[in-house]
Amino acid sequence: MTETRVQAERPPEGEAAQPGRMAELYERHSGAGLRLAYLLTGGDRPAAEDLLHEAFIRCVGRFRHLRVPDAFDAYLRRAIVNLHTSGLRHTKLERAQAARGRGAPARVSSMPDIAGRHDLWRSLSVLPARQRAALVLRYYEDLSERDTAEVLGCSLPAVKSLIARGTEALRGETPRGEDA
Amino acid sequence: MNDTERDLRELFDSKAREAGGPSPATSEVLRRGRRRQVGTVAVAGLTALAIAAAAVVSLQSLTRADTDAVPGGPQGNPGFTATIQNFTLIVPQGWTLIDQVPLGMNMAVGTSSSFSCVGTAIEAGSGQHAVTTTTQQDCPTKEGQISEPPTIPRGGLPMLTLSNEDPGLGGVACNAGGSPSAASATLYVGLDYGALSRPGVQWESDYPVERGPLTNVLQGDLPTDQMPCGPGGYSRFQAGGQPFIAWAGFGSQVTDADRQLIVDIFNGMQVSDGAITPPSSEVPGYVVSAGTVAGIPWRLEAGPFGSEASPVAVISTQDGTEHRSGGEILPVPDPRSLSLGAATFGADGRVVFGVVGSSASGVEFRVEGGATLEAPALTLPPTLGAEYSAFALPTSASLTGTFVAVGPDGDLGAPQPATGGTEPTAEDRQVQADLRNAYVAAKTFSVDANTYEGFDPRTALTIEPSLAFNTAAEAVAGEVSIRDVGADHIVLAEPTTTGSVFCIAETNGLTTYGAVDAQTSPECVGGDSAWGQDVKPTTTPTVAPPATSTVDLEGIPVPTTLSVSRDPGASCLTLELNTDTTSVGTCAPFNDRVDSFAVALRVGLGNGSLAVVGFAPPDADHVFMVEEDGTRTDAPFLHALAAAPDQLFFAFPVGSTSGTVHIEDVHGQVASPIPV
Repeated sequence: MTETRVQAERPPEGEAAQPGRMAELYERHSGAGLRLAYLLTGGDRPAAEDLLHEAFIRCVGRFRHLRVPDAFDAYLRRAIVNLHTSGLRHTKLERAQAARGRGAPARVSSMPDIAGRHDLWRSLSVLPARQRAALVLRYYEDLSERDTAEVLGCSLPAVKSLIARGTEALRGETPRGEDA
Repeated sequence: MNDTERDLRELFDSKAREAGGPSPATSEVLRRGRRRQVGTVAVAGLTALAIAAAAVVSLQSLTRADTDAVPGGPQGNPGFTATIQNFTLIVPQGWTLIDQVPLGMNMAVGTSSSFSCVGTAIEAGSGQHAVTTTTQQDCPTKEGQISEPPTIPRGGLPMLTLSNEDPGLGGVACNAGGSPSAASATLYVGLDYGALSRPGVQWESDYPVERGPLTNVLQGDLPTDQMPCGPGGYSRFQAGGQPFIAWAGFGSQVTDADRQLIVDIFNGMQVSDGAITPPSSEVPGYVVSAGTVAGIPWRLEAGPFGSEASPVAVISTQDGTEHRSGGEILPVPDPRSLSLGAATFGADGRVVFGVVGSSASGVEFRVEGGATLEAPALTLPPTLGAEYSAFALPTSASLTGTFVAVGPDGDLGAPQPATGGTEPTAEDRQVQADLRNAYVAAKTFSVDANTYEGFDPRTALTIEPSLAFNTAAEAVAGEVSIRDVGADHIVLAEPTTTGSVFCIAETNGLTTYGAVDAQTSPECVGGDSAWGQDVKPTTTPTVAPPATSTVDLEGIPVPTTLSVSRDPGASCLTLELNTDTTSVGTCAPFNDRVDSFAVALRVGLGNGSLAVVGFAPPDADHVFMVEEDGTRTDAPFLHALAAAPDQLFFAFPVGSTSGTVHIEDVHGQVASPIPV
């Protein structure tokens, strides 16, 4: 029988109000986070920034409790993926996106309009969120299947299934299925 | 590595580079981050219910912040990003976007004696109707006009028009003979279907696949015959294998800012491939709000959809097919009340939309648990003549609560019951209590049946024997009428002996309270919000938790329950696994500072079946055990039990007694692995 204690300690006076450190943290990790979010959101830059911001806010809220502070990027990655695949994400982030209003117009794709690649990108965008996340983590983040399972919070067989079904759907071999 | 994997890697790398660098951290992000750090401490001991409520409150704060960031424009409406067919573009606050696809499609079909605002034929009997109502300020002539066989205008079939002014629903901005108003800035996109057969047009080369910028923005560079919409900027391009034309036109006194904004919007407009799909509406509509839910674009349109009684609808685009969701919106019986519709997207996405009295500044969605979400009232164009505003609120379909119209000074009440009294009578309260109890019975039924279908008087009576039920179309005093029962909706009504009638309706998890003899869910409006809140209290009643809670477990080889007992005088929390024949348990050390625990227990059967039992902090998202051989087993459920509301409990079968139990929230590990 083992017990584990997790104490929620109030941050030392003044520490919570260190915008410089937090800004530095953002600067260091936001680039990779944005690229991941960008791929997960199907190339929607405003949505990707919203996703990044929400994940960052959640992570810094937990930052002082992380066992391995140097692993902030891993926590941020996990938060981005979890936020993206959760239903709650849509309500929050889409509200933010809709309300942003007069902001800069969405970035125009600069990628050459190669039909096959375009089709692949389009097919990716309609995959179930967890399948898309599994593919992005596996083939963009280059995580092992086991690490991908860790990030997605599911078993190794489930990740294998997500990746297999995702790639099959992209090949058009089978109709898109539900999340594993 | 196969071809698909290689293609994916290349695509991801390419797209990731396209994402560019992140914007600098805004003060809002940092401020919320700091607030979150403090909030993390504050929420450490809250119950799972409170955690859920806090998440909603967080949503509320985000909603409020974002709404504040976009002050009202000329019409007081915030900007948004909308998708119409192949085009996704930004609509600045106060600007007008018109979905003209129905008009364009009308232009494209047959001959008829019908009339369209631009004098182009519309096929009789096609089910498509011309825009002929008085709301069409640009429809100067009369019905029945004999028209010519359809010709495709040189400006194409209109798809959309965006303008800093209201161009009206029936008009086509692309008009070489017209003259734009002095301050106007307009972007028009049309399907130039006529280019496919127009002499002298090499459409494959004249309409490049790669959309180019607007040319001739400063006017005058193109020959007149190449400017079918009049002076302005043009771009011709392909989308989905079809030729499109875009035109930007400006009045003589347009501001530089608006001119530049049109150019920026066009440059930023996302163009997707895919065939044009038949519109779900028969007439054009003002797009007053839009967004994306569950990856599916939606937009809220206002227009003369069938009758003035149904001014708004949510149009969604899913799998390349446009369809209207949400059904009809009924007339607003009182300027202070509201009417609701709802459209569901994906597994959990939902857009609640409707109309509200024009005196309302917005609508509040008061979620069970006390959180409140806000949707601003969206002013409808004066040409519609509507004496109300629209609203749209994306939410999670799992949220339930009540909607209330609000004004600058708070709740806008609702029509008083027909008795006219300012305070409900004792009989009013009794009828409301009857309906509350009947609604609870219906909810009880639906939890088991996963539908309201089948909730009839006989069934209702078995659940709530103290009430009388009927299915009468006209409410009968002393009895609850069950009406409009469906998979996701139900309407209950009961009158008083003095003629007042009250109703409760639920559709897609949305509950409304009414003071009318409603036959359908949308009709159940006008109920005093106070009695609605009585049904769904915004605070959890303070009651002592039970001494023991028991839950049936799934996935255990034999029927097994997990029981949790908390003796206020003891220093441990008793966890028991019980089968028909055996009972095993442990008393986990418990005090306010311990928030995670796990132990392996042998479950009965005598064959060595094992289960891991324990509890986790309330913000735990998932729990799993990694056995010594690396096998990972996830807990299928985390149970919230009333006897110990500050923990979540788990019990799931495992293969061995050796390993570590991991507890994680959505961000990762929240407790050190627990050896078992």
